[in-house]
Amino acid sequence: MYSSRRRFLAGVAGGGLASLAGCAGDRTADETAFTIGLASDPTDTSRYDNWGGMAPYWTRVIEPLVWGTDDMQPKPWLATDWTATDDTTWVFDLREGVSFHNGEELTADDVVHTFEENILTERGDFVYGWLHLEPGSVTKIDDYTVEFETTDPFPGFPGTIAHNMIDIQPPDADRRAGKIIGTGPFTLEEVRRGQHVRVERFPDYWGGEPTPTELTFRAAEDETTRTDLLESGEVDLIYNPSKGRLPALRERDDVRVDAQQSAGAVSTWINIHREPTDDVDLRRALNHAISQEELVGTVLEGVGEPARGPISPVIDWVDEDELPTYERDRDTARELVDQSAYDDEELTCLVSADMDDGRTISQVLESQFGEIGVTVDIELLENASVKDRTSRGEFHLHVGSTGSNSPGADYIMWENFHTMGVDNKDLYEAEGTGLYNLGGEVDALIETGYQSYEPAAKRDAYVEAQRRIMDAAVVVPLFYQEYVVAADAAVEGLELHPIERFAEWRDLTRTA
Amino acid sequence: MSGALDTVVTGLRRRYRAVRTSRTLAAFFANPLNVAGLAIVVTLSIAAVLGPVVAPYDPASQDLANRLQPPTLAHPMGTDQLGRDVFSRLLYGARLSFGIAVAVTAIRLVLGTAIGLLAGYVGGWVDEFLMRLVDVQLAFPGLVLALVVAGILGPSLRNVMLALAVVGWASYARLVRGSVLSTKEREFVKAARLMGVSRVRIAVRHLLPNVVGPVIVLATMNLGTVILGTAGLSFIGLGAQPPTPEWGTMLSAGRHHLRGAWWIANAPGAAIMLTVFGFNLLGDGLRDVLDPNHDATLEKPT
Repeated sequence: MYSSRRRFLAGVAGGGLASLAGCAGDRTADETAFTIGLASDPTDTSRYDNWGGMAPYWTRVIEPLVWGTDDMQPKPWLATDWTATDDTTWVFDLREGVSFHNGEELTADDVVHTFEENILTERGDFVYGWLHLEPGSVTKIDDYTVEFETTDPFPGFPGTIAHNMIDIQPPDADRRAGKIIGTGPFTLEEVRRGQHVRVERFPDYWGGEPTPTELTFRAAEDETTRTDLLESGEVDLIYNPSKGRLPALRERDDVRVDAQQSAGAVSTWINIHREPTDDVDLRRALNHAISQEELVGTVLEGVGEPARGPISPVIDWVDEDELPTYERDRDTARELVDQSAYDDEELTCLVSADMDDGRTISQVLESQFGEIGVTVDIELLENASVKDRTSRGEFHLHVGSTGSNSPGADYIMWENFHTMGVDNKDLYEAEGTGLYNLGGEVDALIETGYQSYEPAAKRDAYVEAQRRIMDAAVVVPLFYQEYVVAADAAVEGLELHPIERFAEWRDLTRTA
Repeated sequence: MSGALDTVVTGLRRRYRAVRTSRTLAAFFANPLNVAGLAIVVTLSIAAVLGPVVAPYDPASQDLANRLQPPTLAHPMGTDQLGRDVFSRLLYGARLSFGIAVAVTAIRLVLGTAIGLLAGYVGGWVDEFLMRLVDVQLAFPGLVLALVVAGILGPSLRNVMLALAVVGWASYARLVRGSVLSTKEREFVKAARLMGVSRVRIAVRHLLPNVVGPVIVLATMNLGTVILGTAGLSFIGLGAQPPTPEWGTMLSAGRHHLRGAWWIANAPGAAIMLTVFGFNLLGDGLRDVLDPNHDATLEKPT
């Protein structure tokens, strides 16, 4: 009996030790595995069905030909160089020795297949306007050289295809079925809908073996939940924690908080073709009613930069020093309101319910505009409803943002402010109006900037167009966006990029 | 003139004596929980009516320099993320919440009672049809259906009222129909019919008064549910539009500041809880004394 008890105790002790050893082993593995809490669902099949339900952003499973530098310039990636041989022809040299996750080498055939089949054929018309390519416009020169024929002169082509969604995959990939074969530093292992995407290290990555063995991208759309996940240690890193809790997070020793100005900007967009906001005096009055510094310093908890224009200055052809300024001056604003055609009617202000801080910002606007005698009715709507209302021009003000997920940001100027841009075209063709288009010389300046291969000429044209847009007070600029990353203080190796979706995880480490 | 006054005074005295000696009232007030419920509801109703008069600040008035201030004498419930006085917003919100609750319950009550009365009294295929309609309506979870209706109509308080009203009438209809079915077989109804009283008059003068008790009980319980439903829909953005000081909207905005500024979410949260609690206690108390199937008399010592 005694002997059997000893044996039992020894067994328990042995089992315990074995368990501990097992845990220790797990812990070692955990040291190189990281969990990242994202503000958007990385498994949204309605948006990511082309990638088997995996977000092409963030996950770094797939890669485009071109990447972006910290100052928003195209950067060689799967392509090492590119040249415009004439106004509409681009020749790209591919990087040699790049392996797909299935072991095959990347060649020009894969690039042609991807563009012709995956991008131009499958994704339809909208891609033609975005990339200025049509089916049959991508040809192989040799195994490592590809030629692109754009539909019109498009100097922004390399920067535009520097986008996570313009990824290269071989014909073997069955993307819609979730068989994703990329060239990225991580391989796709698991997509659990509504929960997470899990990827693992790809040892043969052309840029060198990544440090993390495993990354899990977790859906955490609610900012409070996201912040709780970080504080409870369930995730190692989150994007955009709850602003209300930023001061407390910044004071913690075990959490590191970093911010990076992004390519985004938030403004109040004014419908200049609808009464009474078609009156420039009223629009200037609205600009004089707002203090961007106060907005950023209070309700935004210092996250963001006070804006003077509608486009983030991280984009190289934006120079906010060249733009007219509207300081908050309520007396001037009231005088301008009196001079204008405004007659105490209620201005409709549309805000997307999904917009970060949209509810708070719109209330500040409503109050500040009220101070100068302008009444605003805020309508918080779903994205689709906002688009529907704006497409019909049934609003006066719209709190919205511009931004770019690629270094090629020319489209911001074209789509928003050119008469034939997507925001204005339909109303212009139907009624001769639009939303934010001044037309005439501004259209000409945008065209010049858009089609200029010379950076200085592009910049001059765009800056002049923005100066006129701000002089006519087409928007009330609010703030240039920053994104915040809060992480376990032991996590190191993440460099923040102006395009937050260009995050690279290859060098993530955890210090002791 | 003096004679008329005397008549009125005498009448009032008689009514007062009747109330004082009423066994129903005595039964109601004998339970301290009923008194507590009544006190809560009366207090909140007064706050809702007088709120805008006694509120120290304009509920939409922002003071960004004094945002997220904890409770002080100047701001008894602190300030919110835009520097607005939470106490003032709570008082204005009480009027909104109570107004919506009363309006929605009134719509439910009138609609449900009319349908129940019609189904129960007319009977036949009309009863079948209306009761199947009620079955269909009751088959859906109320708040989920309200969510769908409010989502389709778009976010606004008016649409929330509509959404809550159209999903809540069925229980009134079923209750009234049941009472009418039993009441219409009673002798006094048969007598009225034999005397040639019209069907409408029988329904309104003889049947309706006999179903009032249970309906009032249900309506009182419903008031709390509607306040909860309104706050819930506003919380998820389908109700009040900013800067309307609605309790659910305030709760939603405050949840992001729960750790640093607990008062923003807790003040409307406590108000919602207290209100629903008050209406539930009151409803329970009324059911005890008005429900004909319930012994409404005071407990006798054994």
